[in-house]
Amino acid sequence: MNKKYPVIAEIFLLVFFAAATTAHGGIFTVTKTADTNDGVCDSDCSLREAAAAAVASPETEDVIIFSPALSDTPLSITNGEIAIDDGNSLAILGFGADHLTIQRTGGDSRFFYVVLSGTLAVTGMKLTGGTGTGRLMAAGRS
Amino acid sequence: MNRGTLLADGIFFYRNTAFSSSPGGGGVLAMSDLTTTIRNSSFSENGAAAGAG
Repeated sequence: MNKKYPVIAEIFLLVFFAAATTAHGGIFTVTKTADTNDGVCDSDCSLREAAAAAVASPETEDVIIFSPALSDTPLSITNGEIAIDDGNSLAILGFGADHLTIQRTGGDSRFFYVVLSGTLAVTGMKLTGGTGTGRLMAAGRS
Repeated sequence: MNRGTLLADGIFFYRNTAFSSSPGGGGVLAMSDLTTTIRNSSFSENGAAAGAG
């Protein structure tokens, strides 16, 4: 994969969302690889917790980033798809597909279930192990 | 019905069973009525339904 353009795109998105979040958004930092959910995204924050916090945020532009400590350490999704059901905009900014891997393990599920009226940007990561054909209709969502 | 936008940029989709942008599709991202852009991304060893949907 050509690394030049994703990096440029990430920089653009980071600047864009950083500017937006100055007045309108929050930044949530994923700090752990395990797929836990205690309902709080603080110094101990999984991707699932960060997504939930961003969705719950009253801000119009939110950003999820990853702690540098997670570089080259795969994150696991073990508890089903992560719902991103938001009326606002969200960016999930990875380090790049060579250094950030999100792997789904255990049962069948997608990585994300996305319903929003704003913009979701997902950048710079490897996604592996996703499954779950047909679950969208089974869940009654359209 | 939502009218959002999804941008996937610089993503490596690797060994996923399926991927589709249509309702009833599955795999990596389940998207409901989103305008979707996938760019600077690659796919490898995904299932039969893999692709941009």
